[in-house]
Amino acid sequence: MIMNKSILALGLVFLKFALTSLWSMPLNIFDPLLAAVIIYTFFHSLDTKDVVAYALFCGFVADIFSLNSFGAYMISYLACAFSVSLFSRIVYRQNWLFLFPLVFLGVFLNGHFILILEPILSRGASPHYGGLFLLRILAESLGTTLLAYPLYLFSKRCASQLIA
Amino acid sequence: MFFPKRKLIAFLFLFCIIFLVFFFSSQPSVYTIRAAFSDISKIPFLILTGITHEIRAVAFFHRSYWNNLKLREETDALKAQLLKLEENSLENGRLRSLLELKSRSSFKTTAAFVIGKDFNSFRPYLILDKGSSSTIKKYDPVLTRSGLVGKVLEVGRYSSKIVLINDPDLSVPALNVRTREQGLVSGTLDGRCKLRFLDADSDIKEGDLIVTSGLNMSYPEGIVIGKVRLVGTESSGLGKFAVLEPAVRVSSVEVVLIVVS
Repeated sequence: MIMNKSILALGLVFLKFALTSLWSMPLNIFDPLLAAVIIYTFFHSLDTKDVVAYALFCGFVADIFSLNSFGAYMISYLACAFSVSLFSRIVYRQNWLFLFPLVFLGVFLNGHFILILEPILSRGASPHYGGLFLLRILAESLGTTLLAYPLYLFSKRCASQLIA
Repeated sequence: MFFPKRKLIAFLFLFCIIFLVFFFSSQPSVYTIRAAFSDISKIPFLILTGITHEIRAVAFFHRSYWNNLKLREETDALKAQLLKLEENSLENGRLRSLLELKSRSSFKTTAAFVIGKDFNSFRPYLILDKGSSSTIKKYDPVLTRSGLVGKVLEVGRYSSKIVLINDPDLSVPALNVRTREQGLVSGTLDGRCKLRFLDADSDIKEGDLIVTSGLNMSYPEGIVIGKVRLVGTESSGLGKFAVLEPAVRVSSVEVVLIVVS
């Protein structure tokens, strides 16, 4: 079964909503779309053009299904993909286990990128950064890292083009 | 040249993309398109909601049994309270007619189902199955029987998105029922609600009930927001703040009422 990476991105948005409904807690602990961007970046880090295009597409999809200022996710996913691409050139890319610390790092950075971008794009005030916010971001990073493994296996099985 | 040509082109391309994103983020038409996308995705969301409800119903069957027993006990206690309240309400009505005051709860609401939830740290929101075709407008207040939920921020034809009360950008004029002191309730990045702009010598206490004051006319007066859980002093020392326990548990809201007029 071959699954197009764009269709997978759309499916992952609905997966996020389904997981939030099932989880039923006022806390977001999964971002499967960002996990897909990072997995794709990890396995295609040398192909910058594709990485940029996929990060922008996923960011666009995330922006469509959000209530933030339009473009916040497009820029943050792009920045995230660049950061992960930079790190994946340092780590040994043939060992897929390095993927998980990169997913954790990517989600953690994404939270902070949005925190910087949102007040700029909405021309609003910057919200107060507290310890509990950091805990929420860490929980989201951990949850997404755990989700990255089934997503990696699924991508491998379905030849979803996420993995080279 | 400081950069090789390819790198320069790539740099310029990225710069253009970021510039375009910044430009489009301030265009209202982009948000209209987003609302249209929300309408298109209403059917998948409805299917998804149905499936997740079924999964939850099966998964929490055991818990439901014990909850049922607990709720029966609570219902008995509430029935007794209700009788007392009915008595008070009749007395209140009699006194009101004596004073010739009009009834304050004169707003019209329409019910809507929650078909999607996103609790990200920056802007948590709910997707509702009704839009402008059901006379819903932008900035309409949203509530449940227990209290205030938030306000409509994006309206499509057949769906709408509501920003929640714990959003850092949302401000609700509020009132302490016990002391009649007014303040402003807004959310924080960690998902809590805070009552701000209280006097330094404020008498606010843990357990005080906070309701909407109706000051800026966008929220009807007297809707329950929550109870005070913690009282603190602002870092400047000029005033107090209170952390609230919202009356509505936003994560488990399934049906809401939108104030349409």
